[in-house]
Amino acid sequence: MEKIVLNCRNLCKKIGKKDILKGISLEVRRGEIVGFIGPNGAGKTTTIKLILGLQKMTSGTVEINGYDIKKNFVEAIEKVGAIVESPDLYMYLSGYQNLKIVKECYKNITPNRIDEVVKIVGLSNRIKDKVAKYSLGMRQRLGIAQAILHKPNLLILDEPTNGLDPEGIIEIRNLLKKLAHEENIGILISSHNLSELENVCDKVCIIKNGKIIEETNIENLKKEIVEESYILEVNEAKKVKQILKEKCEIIDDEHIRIRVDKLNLPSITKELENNGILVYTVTKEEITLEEAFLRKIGGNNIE
Amino acid sequence: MNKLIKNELFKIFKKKVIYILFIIISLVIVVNTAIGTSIYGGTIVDHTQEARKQKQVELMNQLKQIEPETNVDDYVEIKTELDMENLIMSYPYGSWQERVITKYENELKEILRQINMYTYKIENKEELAKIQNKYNTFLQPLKEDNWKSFVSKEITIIEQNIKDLEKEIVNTDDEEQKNIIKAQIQQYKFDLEILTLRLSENISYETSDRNTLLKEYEDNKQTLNAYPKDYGKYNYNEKLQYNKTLESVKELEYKIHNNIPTLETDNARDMLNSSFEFYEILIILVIIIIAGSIVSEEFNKGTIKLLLVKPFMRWKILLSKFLASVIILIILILFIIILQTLVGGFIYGFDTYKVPIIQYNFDMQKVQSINVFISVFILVLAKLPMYLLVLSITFAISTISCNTSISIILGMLVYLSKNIIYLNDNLEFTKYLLTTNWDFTRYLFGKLPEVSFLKFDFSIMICLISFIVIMFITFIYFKNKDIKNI
Repeated sequence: MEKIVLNCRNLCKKIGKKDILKGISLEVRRGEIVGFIGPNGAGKTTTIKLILGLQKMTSGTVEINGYDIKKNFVEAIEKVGAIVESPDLYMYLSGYQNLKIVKECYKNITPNRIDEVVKIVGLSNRIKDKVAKYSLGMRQRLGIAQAILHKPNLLILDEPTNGLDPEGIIEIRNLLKKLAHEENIGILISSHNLSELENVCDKVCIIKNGKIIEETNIENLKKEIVEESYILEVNEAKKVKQILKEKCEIIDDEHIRIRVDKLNLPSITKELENNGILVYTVTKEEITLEEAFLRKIGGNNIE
Repeated sequence: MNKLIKNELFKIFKKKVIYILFIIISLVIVVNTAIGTSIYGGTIVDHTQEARKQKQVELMNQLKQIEPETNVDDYVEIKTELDMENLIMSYPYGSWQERVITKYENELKEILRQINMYTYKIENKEELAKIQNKYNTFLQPLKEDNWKSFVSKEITIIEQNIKDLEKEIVNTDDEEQKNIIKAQIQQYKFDLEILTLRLSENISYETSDRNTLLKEYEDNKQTLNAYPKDYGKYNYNEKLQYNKTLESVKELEYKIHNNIPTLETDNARDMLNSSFEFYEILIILVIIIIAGSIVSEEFNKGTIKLLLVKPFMRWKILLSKFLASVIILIILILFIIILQTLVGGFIYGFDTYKVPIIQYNFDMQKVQSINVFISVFILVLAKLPMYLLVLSITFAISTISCNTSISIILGMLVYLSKNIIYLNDNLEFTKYLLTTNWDFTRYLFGKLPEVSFLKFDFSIMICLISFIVIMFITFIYFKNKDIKNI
């Protein structure tokens, strides 16, 4: 049993009369990467701000390494690295100077730790340049460097892959995996894009309208939301619809989609043949995790 | 905490704007010092000498046209005028003899008139010899160039006059007459005092800085003596004026006794000493820009989140920013002092810094001789409450509004509002305003403030209360602030 680094219980946040969060609970253990997925406006950033003490919660508790964020802020936040919304960088300073400012905020950071971190995020060549000249991707990397400089055991990253090219995304993913598994860091990553996190997360929490609607691992999620479906090429699609009723949907005159288990497929084709329908081909339809996710959260309706 | 302040200073000094501000200030100091006050005054050209020469020529021409036989009265009159001019012109302009002759012009003219009269009108050898003798006795010390003996003679004459008057007073019964004589004696005694001072301090009649000081001292002392004796019955304005005269008298007295040199109008010392009047607006501008942006900018750029997820309580983060602004203020003040010292020194010479500033202290009731650097330090201390309050107000607006331009504009308005509220004895409610209380230079050396309702203790209280309230609100607000989503 890995140690729990982040434990949120029943977080609620009310701004005016509007409930932004309605009882969010989540846990992050050491060495575990938790994806925090939800559409825009679902409350991801607000949750992260509550966890970090940037906003006051209406009710609920946040414990980091066993310390309550409200009562023991300094102890709780000491071992946390975070990027909120976007990397917070001083544009008129160089990358190195930005890291130096962070270094001054913690005790016991050795001077060569900065070089070490710069190497980890791959910014060695440009670290002396002004941040104003950095691309969005480089800023993200520098943000991660800032967050891991003091060797935290909890890393909270808000949309860390924003603005990165596919190659960059892969690099960051590998970096996060390495951090989680080699340095035993618990990581909470928020994103509105499930497929980006598909390969890194041990667990995903899906948030919608301020509520967690699913908390499971990726495999289960896939199994649950991705039903199998098949495309049948037939001679008369309309006739099939009359026979199978709700089980199928018409794509065009000669193609229909049916959602059934693989085991039930032979009996259906047999039934169609008995009714004089010619089935030419049966193909399995692949749907992406993304589509499945969209179906699951039912589109993006900001309340 | 030290590290946080270090971080804040690091961030400030990495910005270009701070260097631009410092360069502007340097330029203003250099230009202002180089121009000095000559731009306002211009040199004063003395035309007395030329006018006298012209008069001499005119009189000579007039005299030639008059026949002494036919028109003796006019002849005597013109001759007397001419003799007087010749006498004045016989000594160089500004010499002590010339000054003395000018001082006793009326008496000398009378003597000359008598001489001429006895020569041309009524020929009377006996009287002429008598008056000639008087004339020569008067001019003897002048010819010998011995001003001390001249002054001694003056003193003897005045002492004799006093004795005569004292005798007269005994013989007079009329009260009114007695008072007049008493006043005359008073005046003679005062003249005697000045003459004695002239002798003991070795100040001749010659035009010199010390003679000017003595003249000023004489005028001020006379004004002071004219005040009624019961200080307690003065109203506030009379007290103010009395104190002002008293201050001048005491300071001039000290300068004369201690031989303090008089400096030229433009000199390095006085420029340094008044630098915080000249450059106050610049100091205010810089601290408003720094204090107005130090918090709000972090909010605007979102970098405040970076600071707030560091292991420090929020009040420490805010305090470090406040202290960093105060450090900038101190650096700025030191910068201005050092630069003004150097620039003034290079343009007008460094030696004037050795000349002390003479200041009468009403609390200690004695004159103090203060080194210019100590004087500047005292002035800075007296101005510091104002600087700190402007800084805190701007800082508070910056923290609460999160808007840099609004905080800079409001901070400036608060500072300028001190000029809008005109201090007046009829507006006593203004004593509760911060802006009327935050400048402590008016209380320095026990001076009376310009209006009666201002009190030192009360001002300290108003400033302290305002500071505590402003800081309390700012820190509580910052502690509970939710960092909004962008």
